Amino acid sequence: MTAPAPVSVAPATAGHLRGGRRLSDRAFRAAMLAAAGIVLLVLAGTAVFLVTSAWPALRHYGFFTFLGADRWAPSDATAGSAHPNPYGIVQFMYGTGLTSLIGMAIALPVAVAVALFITEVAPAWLRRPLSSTVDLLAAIPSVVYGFWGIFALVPALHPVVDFLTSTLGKVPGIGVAFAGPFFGVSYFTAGVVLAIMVLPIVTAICREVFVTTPADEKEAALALGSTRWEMLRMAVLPRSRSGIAGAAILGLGRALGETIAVTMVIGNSVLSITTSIFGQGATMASVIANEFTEATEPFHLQSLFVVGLWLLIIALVVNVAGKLVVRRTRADIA
Amino acid sequence: MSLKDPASPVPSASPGPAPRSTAAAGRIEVSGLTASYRSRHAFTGVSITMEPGKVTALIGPSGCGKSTLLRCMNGLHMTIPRASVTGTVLLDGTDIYGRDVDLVQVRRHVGMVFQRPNPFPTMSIAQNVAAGLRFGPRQQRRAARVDEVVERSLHQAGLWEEVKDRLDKPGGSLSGGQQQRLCIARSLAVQPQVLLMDEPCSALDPLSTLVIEGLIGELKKSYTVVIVTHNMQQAERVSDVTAFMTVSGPGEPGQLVEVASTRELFSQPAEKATVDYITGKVG
Amino acid sequence: MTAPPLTPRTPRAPLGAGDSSLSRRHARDRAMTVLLAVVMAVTLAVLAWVLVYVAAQGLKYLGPAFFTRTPPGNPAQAGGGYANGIIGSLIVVGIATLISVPVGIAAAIAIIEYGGRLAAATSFVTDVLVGVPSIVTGAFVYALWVTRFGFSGLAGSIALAIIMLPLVIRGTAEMLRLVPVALREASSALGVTRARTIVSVVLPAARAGITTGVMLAVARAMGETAPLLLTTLGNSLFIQANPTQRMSTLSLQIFGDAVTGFQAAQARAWAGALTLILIVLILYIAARLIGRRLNLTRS
Repeated sequence: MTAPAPVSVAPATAGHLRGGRRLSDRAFRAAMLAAAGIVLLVLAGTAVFLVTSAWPALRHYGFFTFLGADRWAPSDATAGSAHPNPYGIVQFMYGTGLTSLIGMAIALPVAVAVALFITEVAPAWLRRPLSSTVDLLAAIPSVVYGFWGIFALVPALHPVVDFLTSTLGKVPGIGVAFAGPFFGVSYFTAGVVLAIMVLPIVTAICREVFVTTPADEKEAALALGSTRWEMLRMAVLPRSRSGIAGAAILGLGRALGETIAVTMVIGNSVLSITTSIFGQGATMASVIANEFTEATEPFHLQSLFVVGLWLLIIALVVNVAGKLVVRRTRADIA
Repeated sequence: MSLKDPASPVPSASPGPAPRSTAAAGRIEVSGLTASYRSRHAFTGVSITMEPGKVTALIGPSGCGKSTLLRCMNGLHMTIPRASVTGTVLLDGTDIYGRDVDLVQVRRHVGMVFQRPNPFPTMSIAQNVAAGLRFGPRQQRRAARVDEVVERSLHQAGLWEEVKDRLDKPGGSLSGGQQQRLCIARSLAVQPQVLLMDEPCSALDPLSTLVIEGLIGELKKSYTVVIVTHNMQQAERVSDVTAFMTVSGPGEPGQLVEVASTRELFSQPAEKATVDYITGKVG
Repeated sequence: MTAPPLTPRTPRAPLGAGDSSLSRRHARDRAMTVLLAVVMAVTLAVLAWVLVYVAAQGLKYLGPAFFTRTPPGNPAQAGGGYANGIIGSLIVVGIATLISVPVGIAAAIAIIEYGGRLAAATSFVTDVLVGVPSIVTGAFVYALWVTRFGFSGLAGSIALAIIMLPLVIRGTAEMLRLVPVALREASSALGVTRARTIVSVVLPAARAGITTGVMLAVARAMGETAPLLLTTLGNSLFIQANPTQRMSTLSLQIFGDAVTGFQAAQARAWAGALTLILIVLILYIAARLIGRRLNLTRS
């Protein structure tokens, strides 16, 4: 019985293995990079499709006429005439800007105070529970905030707003911005809801900024004989200025894009700008949400895409600016 | 002069009995002091007197508690959560840990300079020096007074000539040694009686170190200076009195082993532990 | 250095003789501490207000019928439930997760493991995508998909997947970054291919953290309404489980019923809101707890 001739496995299979190894590595890498490419395509696609969908209206009415009018009256639109542009979007930009600014005006000081409390005043064991709890505000869905806003917040705001309209509303000059009547839904109500929604992200960034204050600068302030509050004013807050600014900008970016909660409490008056902050209005996001599926007039849907395009541009600019400010602050600290 | 028994009375290092006066001279008397973080002791049973007009150096291996001892003299130790002290620290006769004593006020009398220069980055040179005045009594805050104090403090810190033309430039624009002198000026601006220095030169280059050591020689004429240093030669150069602390083992609390005039401690130390440290046998 | 002679200091009052400005400074310090604490308390109170209010309103109507019935044909009529919305949410978010998680993990691997210019661009674009308003994403998917294939659950899934994608990428990338280089090197030293190292060594090491990131993305997607208005449109009549058709989701139903004037519809909406909050909060808190256990075991 002769033993079978030994078959050398190595040369025959090694080449196959080696080739196989290279192939699977290359294929894998290609797949991963393709996924990365998809991400880029998504952003590019968003921009491209918005532009192409808005194009018919932009070409018909001209790019700048949308910004020139503050009257949004789709029923006035006809397929033929291009003057005047019935789709003025200025009041939506006004609404977006006003509600976001009111939101930030409320949220920023509150966020700074909460972040200071958590990082500097609260005992160490409370820090994580407090920050996690504040973060929970970010988990609540927008539609729930809107619903709560209508039924719980509005009744609570009535006495506050009545007080403001009877005091600030009577002041000559600025009084017109605080005038009644107040029907519950308004720019102001939307601003308050936005403040609550935006608070967690602004607080989180401020916390991060305060925590990176070097301990020995704080000690140097204390060693000069300052109280804790004086130490905060000397060593923590001044060097946190740009970080707080970055947090504010990022919070603003988040507020700009908020749709559902705002739609539910702003009143959706699209016709033109209302001068009082207690009046009703609309934002760029809310008008899209409200009218999109019923946009039957000529150029109505395309004009809504124009609104969407402007919203995208503004939101991106603000968010990128905020990121740059925060990144520069981090780099300074690091 | 050995201090193995912390309960024994503390003879001063200078010849003759120390006058127990309560005038605002800037004398610090530490008696039976034990400092702890939670339940762990940083050091136990330390008694030592820092005399006005003298520089006292605290030397010893790392972990012996000398920095903690320093920070017990202006109450900074108590800013750490769950830190505590037992014993007394008398500043001109008043126990700074007494019930009615305000540590914020104590720190106006006892200033501190830290290991790494830490000027406030958003403030100019002048603003840094005046930082401690911003919150003081109103008459201290008047603008003309402030300028006066800034100039005088910068003179005292030996920095005036170098920065007098750029007082509004940021504090961080100076070199390391200059920044440290800026911090010294900042501490001096509130007119303390005692100046605590926690390894003030360890982050500096040799030339800046020499400058600051020379400055210490001048400062002791008007202030009580206490300096923590891990550099024995520096202790020999600048101090009048030296105190040696050590630990018996890792994780053990520190002990004050010996206090003597500098010349004596380095030439004829009384304790073996001191000898071992000075001759380099022990880290 | 020619220092002028040190001027003698003005003698200081002994300790204990505090001046009035000192007590004023302490009073201000205390007042600020109180102010900060009050603001903190008010913030917590607002959170409690929202949660308690929704719970109180929702519990009035929540019951087993809510999960098994569909809404009545006439919204003013009482009774019924959100069975179609709940099922719809599960389907739409489920498909969105199936789309976004593989793409997101792969993109994160590209960024962290492979690097290069494409990866750097992707990292930047991911950050930018987080700032795109969700209504704009809805409009994009409308133009891309709905104009060709009509309103459908699938279109909604695509929109939600786009919204989830940057969250999955960021969460995964952070976890991958934390896996020690030594682990990868040990694997290569054994002759394992790069691809296999990533799949069999690095990813499992980051598994818990990636799960956390995915859970947070899912929680976010469950709560979205705006993009679905433009893509899924909603179906308040019957349970629709076919994703190629219009579907309802929990969020859409809440929105639809909340803005009617009818008490009965609003009652259903409150129950829906409570359900949605519970789902989202459970996901959120579970994700945070897993994340915390991760950090604890690591240290």
